Amino acid sequence: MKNNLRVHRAIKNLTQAELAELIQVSRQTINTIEAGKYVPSTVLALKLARVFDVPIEEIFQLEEED
Amino acid sequence: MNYKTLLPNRFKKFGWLIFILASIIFFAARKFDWQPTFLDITINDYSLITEVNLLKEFIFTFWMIGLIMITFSKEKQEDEFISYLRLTSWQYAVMASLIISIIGTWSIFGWNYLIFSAINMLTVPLLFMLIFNLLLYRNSNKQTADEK
Repeated sequence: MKNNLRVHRAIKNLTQAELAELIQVSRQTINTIEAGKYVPSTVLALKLARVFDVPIEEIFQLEEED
Repeated sequence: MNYKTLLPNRFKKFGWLIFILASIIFFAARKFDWQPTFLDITINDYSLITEVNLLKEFIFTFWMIGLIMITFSKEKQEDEFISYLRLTSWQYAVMASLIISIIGTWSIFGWNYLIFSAINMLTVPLLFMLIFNLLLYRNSNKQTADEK
């Protein structure tokens, strides 16, 4: 799965720490999601979509091998 | 792993205190050949009356209690990623412990194997602590600078 979380974060002008605080996770979690090292749960993905006010598919996309 | 079932973070310090105190007593008892007489008991072991000292039982129990408190305490900030690291660490710790058991079974014999088996009970939580903290450190080190 790939994501463009960093892009949406930049659009909203949020730091990783600020975004982490908004959705009540650690900054480490945001960092590993952006790096593609961790796939968030449905709840976390929905929270991110709500913060950026976009559909989930705009943040997370399935890849061929998924 | 449901982090809501974990102990509060402050238990970690108590766990370390108990584990370290038990370790100090263990090494001191070995070095000075000390066995407190108030821990002597007489047991009926298959019709054989034997005198045993319960110091090592107490040490082992406190080791286990300390390790339980350390390994089942929350981190200061718990979230799903930390839970994921926790689960991964337990998997690796169990796997490594089983491999150590196999190696020990084929390389340690006689009464020493009994001692190895007893100590081997501690390897899972000890390995978990090592692996979990290593994974936490590696992931915190990989953090890039914030972008505005």
